[in-house]
Amino acid sequence: MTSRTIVVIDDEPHIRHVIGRKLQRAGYRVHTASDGAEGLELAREFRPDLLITDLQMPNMDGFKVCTVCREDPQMRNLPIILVTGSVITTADIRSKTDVLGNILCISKPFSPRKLLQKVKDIMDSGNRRVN
Amino acid sequence: MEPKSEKEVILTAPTTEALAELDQALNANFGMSLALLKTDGEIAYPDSDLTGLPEGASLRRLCAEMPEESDEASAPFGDRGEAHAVRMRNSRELLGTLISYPGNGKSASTVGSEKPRVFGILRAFASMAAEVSAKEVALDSLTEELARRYEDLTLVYELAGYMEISKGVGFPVDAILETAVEHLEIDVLIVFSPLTKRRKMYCASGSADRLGRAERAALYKLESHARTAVLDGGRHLVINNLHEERCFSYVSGICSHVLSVPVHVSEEEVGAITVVRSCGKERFFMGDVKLISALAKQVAIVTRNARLFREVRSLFLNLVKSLISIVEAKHKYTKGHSERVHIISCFLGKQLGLKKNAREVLHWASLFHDVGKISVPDAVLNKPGKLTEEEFATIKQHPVVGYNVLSHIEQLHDALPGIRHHHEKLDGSGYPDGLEGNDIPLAARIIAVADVYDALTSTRSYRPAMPTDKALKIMCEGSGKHFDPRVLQVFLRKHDEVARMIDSARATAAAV
Repeated sequence: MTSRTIVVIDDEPHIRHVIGRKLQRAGYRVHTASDGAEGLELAREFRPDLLITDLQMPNMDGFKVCTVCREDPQMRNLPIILVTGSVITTADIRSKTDVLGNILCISKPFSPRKLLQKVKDIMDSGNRRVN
Repeated sequence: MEPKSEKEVILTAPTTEALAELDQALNANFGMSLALLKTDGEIAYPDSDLTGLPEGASLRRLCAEMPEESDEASAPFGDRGEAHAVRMRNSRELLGTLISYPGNGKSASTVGSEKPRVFGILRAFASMAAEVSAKEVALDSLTEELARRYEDLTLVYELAGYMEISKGVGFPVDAILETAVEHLEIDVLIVFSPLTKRRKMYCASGSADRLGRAERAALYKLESHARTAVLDGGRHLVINNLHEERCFSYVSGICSHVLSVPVHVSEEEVGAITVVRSCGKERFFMGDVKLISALAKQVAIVTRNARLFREVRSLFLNLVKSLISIVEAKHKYTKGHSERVHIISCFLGKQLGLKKNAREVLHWASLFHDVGKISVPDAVLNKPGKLTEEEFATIKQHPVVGYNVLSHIEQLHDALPGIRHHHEKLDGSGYPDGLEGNDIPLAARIIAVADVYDALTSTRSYRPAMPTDKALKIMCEGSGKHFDPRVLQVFLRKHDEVARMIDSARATAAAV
């Protein structure tokens, strides 16, 4: 079986590193990007099975990344994990992500172990839904 | 943390790309091909499909027959010529064997000066790969370390979240300890409560089924052992590798490492948290001690807070009861009425399956429902005959007065609607706002049933107490008009229990 591809976008190098390496070790093909534009480029090139993006980033935030993905017919239903900071209210995030669809929010600080489990659940679910 | 298998190391160092490049170079210069065999003999490069072919079998034989004492060897490879093998290791372990062998269809063979050159290339590649592999291993362990810190941070955050909750009614020690068991990669946690001096065991989801009675008993014994030492010494205790100590043979096969820390609530009230990891798991380090100690501090704070909360709440409750008894003292016939309505309402709330928060609202609203009667003149309240319209208007003010008086107490905010609307009727004919149906808050609908029942079955200045059957009959007639049928139905079904509770409340009130 060819391994599944994941694109990880986070402006913090240590988070990129830990998520990326953990996922690689779990057998996924991983491409990391430090900002939204680069991440979208990788997503268009590698057609990932899952996108993991931070919410708060300079230049282009996670919402914008999700919005651009949904405008691309190839990524209309791409499962996305949105890693949110603890400052923003959940209700606000939920109303926005509900519109965009198939987005799972996890809040920082997150447990790498749980994130890995979530990724596995999404990849193993036949219809590729985040929940 | 999963142990790193050799297979994983091989996959990242050297990479397939690097091997392919070396393969091409060997082919171009010496007409030779390259193979990499894993320690189990499987062919990692060019690919495992080769394993079943004669060529693969030859490579595996060559690898297996390499002498132990040297990491380099040459051997004939069928009729094609000689193959050369170099073992690849990092500082700790064997990673695999690189073999350069005469390519298919090529008659080329390495003779004379070429053989040392091939070995030189393989050797250089092996040492480079070993270095990369060592770096990968180091990077992996750093990544694991960082991931562990993230886990710890998440735990601290979640615990902080529970502290917020503990400002309310809940007593979240259970939730805190369950979270801890989940995050800390421990198998069992036993807490010895500083207040009750009782023990409770929390098992990680994987190990709960594994533990029978005997195992649990052994773990409790270990806990007593560790706790005694901790409480005597006043500081944490770690014993790793329990199987090495004869005195701990009773937990052999159950767990291998134990860590215990004290929980200080006050000078006299000291408990302990003891955690164990089972055999094969990592031992406890200083980082674990710090984390479990932080957990113990958190539990101590929550325990202290919860007790303070209970004390303040009970002080408040008693103040409220005094206030109500002052109101009721104005009026000899309503003595104990608020208390009884409170008892019935809370009982109905429970029977109706109300959530904790809603029950809390009902608790206070029912107790306070008549507090506004403080504004009604004694002469009106105690008037034996029929009230004039004007007098009745004064009485009808009491829900609003109660609402206004208590609206200054922030903590009672949620209870206010229940107080204001307990005289509303389902058909909209009640007061003060003439609300209808579900617009009337549930607490008020419940209090209405309790209030009317107690009023009918109590003696009033203008009439004696009504017999129970007659009171129930009147209430049934009000179903859907005055009362919420659902509440009334539960009340009627449980009437025997209600009557018992009210009788005993009346007896207590009379005795005071």
